[in-house]
Amino acid sequence: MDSVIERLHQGEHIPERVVAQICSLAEELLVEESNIQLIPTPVTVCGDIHGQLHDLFTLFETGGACPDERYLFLGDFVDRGFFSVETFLLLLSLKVRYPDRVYLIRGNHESRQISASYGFYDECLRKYGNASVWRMCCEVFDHLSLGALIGGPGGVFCVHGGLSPEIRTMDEIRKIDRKQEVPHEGPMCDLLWSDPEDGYAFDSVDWSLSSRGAGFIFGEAPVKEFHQRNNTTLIARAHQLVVQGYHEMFDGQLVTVWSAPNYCYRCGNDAAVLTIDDDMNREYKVFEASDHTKMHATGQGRAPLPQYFL
Amino acid sequence: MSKHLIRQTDDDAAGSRLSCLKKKYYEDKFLNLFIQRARPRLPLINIGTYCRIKAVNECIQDFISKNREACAIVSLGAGSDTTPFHLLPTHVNLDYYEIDFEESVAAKQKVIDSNEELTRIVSESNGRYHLYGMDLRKINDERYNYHYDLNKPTLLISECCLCYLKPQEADEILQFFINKAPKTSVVVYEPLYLDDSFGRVMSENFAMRGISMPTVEAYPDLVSQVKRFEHYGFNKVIAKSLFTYYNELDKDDKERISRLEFLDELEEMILLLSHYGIIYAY
Repeated sequence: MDSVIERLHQGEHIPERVVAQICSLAEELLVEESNIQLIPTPVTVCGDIHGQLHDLFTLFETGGACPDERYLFLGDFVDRGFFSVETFLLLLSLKVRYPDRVYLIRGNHESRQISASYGFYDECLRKYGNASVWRMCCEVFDHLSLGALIGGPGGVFCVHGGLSPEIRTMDEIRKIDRKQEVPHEGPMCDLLWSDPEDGYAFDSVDWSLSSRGAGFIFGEAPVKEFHQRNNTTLIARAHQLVVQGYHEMFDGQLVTVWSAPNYCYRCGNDAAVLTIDDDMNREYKVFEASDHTKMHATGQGRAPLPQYFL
Repeated sequence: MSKHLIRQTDDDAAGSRLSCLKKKYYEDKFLNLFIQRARPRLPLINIGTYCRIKAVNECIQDFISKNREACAIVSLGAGSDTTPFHLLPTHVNLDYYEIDFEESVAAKQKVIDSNEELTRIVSESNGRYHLYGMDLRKINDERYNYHYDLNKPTLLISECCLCYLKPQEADEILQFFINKAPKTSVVVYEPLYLDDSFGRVMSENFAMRGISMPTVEAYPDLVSQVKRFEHYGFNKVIAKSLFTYYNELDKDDKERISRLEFLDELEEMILLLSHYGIIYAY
């Protein structure tokens, strides 16, 4: 596994049979994990990566090397960026090599339907000439857990998207049969798709439909309620691009962490990770994109430039 | 910027329109005659393309409805736009001028000649359709002594056309038509805010395709765009970002397009649409 990790750092191609091995080892580990993983402190929480492998290297430089530091990734490893295969394989290899130092939960892009249309499928075809690597990775997606709890009672609930009107307690999440493709609706879908919204008029409505076409928009009241009922103090989630890299809401009861700098080689945003220490203090570490001009120059000339209106 | 690169921007725009059409955002029975294949665009591009088409069309409809007795439209860098073929048969007092590079115009003429319906629309327009080939930057060149009958309310359209030129070139073109047409209106669609973090990356990405937008640097935001057209003496200048336009879409229409595709890249869409503006001056 160490040699795979090294080869991924060198930007080398990983043969299909090695991918199969990594996926099968990862599945063996992930299948044992609960829908909500319990993670000790200190830990560094990371948001969307989206195939931006070189920025993932910067992330590890910013947050500290793995396995020296413990990491939780909140999903959306693949799609949009040009190195989804390598990014997901690196994270999986680290998981297999250091199971107690790396935690991965599922994002809405870790799904067949979404990754088929947002780049991961095409990338697999381009790099392997067939869809079997994509299929193997999708099998792993089905095994990823849905959330995490950092630090036990009074701790941090972590999820990719947000809350669901159908979920009141973490125990209800634990009961979901997660080993399936992400459904189009229902609690599992909501956890991966929902978004919080500030200043929402919540005198009578706590939830509204999301214009993403899946999940809900939720305000402060459901967050407060969730904390009281589950004895948590913070919801750490990803899913939404925030240009500063992180954004706290509802008097610090919820935070969005975003870890893909200059998202899609287009957005010009910063990225951040959040470290939770043993006293549950939060420390945000912000980082910028690796030189994106260089990105395009280093052999990715084949990859199309971001689309605009011309 | 080279002619070749500017012409490519029309291929890109046509591809975006086809992608948008295929996903059923809008209908255009003529588009397929001009472009048959395009790689599918991201949902955010489809939504933006839809807003752009609809916003420009609304300005056109507003203009025509105010000038039913007689009016003219001059489309700068018209490319493969199909608007005249939709408008000419139903608006019998409308003259339509399309201007683009000679090569683009020749390609368009070929499509018209090879299609029965387009040929009929053009011939039944009784000389109200004009397709002029030239480099707009040489608008005052005697070689391009084209005939314009603009002694009637005239709408100038620039959809991502003048933005590729130098400010003085864009000004010269606007001035040319404003002088010819005593009662002019203008609709301009072009990028904005190239100086913030998203805009800087946008400029870099354009630069990698060899595209530069000197006019956008001169009019970097909605405020300066308003001033730009007030300067020409227009009474009213409405300027809004494409994102504002999207937000103001009729509720049913917004719901309809939200059902066409999953829109995962909501925040990215807000950024992108905020970096384009529609300016309507009359």
